[in-house]
Amino acid sequence: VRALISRERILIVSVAVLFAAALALPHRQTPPQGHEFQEAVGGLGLGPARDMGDCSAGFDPRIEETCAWDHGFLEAGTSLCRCQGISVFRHRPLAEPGP
Amino acid sequence: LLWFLDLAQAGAAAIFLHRLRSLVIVMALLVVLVPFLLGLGISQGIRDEAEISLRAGADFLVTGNQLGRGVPVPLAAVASIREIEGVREVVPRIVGTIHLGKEREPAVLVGIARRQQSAEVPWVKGRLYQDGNNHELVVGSELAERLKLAVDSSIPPFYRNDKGDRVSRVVGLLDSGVSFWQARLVLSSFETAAYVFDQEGVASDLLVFCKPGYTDHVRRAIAALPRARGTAGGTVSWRVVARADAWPALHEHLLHQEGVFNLHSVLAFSIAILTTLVAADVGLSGRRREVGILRATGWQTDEVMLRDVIESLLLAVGGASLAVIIACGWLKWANGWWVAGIFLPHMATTPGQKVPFSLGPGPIALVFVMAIVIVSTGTLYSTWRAATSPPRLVMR
Repeated sequence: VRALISRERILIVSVAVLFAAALALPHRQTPPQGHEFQEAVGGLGLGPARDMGDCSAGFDPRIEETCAWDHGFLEAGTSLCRCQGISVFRHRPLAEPGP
Repeated sequence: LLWFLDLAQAGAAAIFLHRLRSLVIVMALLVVLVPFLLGLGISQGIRDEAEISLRAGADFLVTGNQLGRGVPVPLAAVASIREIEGVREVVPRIVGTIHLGKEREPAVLVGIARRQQSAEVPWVKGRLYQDGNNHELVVGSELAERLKLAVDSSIPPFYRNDKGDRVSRVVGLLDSGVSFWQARLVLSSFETAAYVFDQEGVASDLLVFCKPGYTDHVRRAIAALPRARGTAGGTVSWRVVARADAWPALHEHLLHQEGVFNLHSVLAFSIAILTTLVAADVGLSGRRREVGILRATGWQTDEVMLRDVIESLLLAVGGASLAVIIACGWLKWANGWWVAGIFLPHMATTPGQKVPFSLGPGPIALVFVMAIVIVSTGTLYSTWRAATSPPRLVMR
């Protein structure tokens, strides 16, 4: 019996159980009624910010095209607000202004 | 098969032979992989919600443009856009920043005509607002918690309007899990929002919904509309953002941010490889002697290598599985406690809302591959060097 339940076998079985648990866990948390909510507000929010206090573009670039803290091109890239960090590349605007 | 099982047991036994080394390798994997999974999970969770926002939103979002900056759009444009062939619906909306409470908490006031038939919806505790200038508000979960607001609470005037300031009433609270962007939102009727901002005849944007197959035509027609007269006297041109424009930009922006994050993770992975390399060879001469003894007692080089491959696989799969379990548990059951505040701006240590996350099969598979690469690179090279050297030299 001792040979059958050696610590090496226990280790192999434990790793297999851990692997199965890692695959079986829920890997997603998305709102079940998110679509209905977004329909009610007409589609709002695309960025990592939850309000427009610092930067409207970080909340939803459809509302405000550019970051309010965009100081233009600096030596190491583009300085933006806290939502964006430092970007090496300039962000492509969503739409060009009309005539 | 028996030969392979014996080797598997020998690989597992090697883990116990050098317990400290095995522990260091698993810890190195956890230190590198858990933050990687947490960051990627939150980023992809927000992207999933952003996709819902785009899918449920309008086909076009029309705003004004004056002196190269975004400005409100006159409501007179609603009738002109409704007349365009293929337009199904035009909904004016007001979106602006307000500040509430003694601490002047920033919030986003959204004024839009109610689009639900019933005021009772499952994602609002209480009910939705009625249309009209009745100062009924539906408040986001984090804002309600910070301002200690409940259904039927009153909010004293938080704005200035020459026609008089009015007390607002909270008629509903948004469910904390309904959307990432609900936390600091205040929903009201269009008329109430116009009164709060003391604006008449303008909207922040117009939401344009089209019939299928008409989007290109409607876009061209809106762009060709004559300029509108702005509130300050000048003309206002149109800025049209189509859903089709936002899709690639959304993925481009988020992929770029994830790219920067991945770049930092690659540096961390390199350190993990060095750690395993040090733990496997440089710091453990006993392990090299062990390989020499195996070779001297008749083990072939491929058998020694296979034993170490199995040992590496067990360590890598075990470490990566633990990392996935810790990351998912942290985001799901601990709701991203502390870590959400690092990755998301202005998020409290204990988030006042459900933190979205999504870890698809791609990132999970990537983590397992990275773990195998980290452990194998750190282990197999040193074993191969020891196994191909004469045993008498290695056993010294």
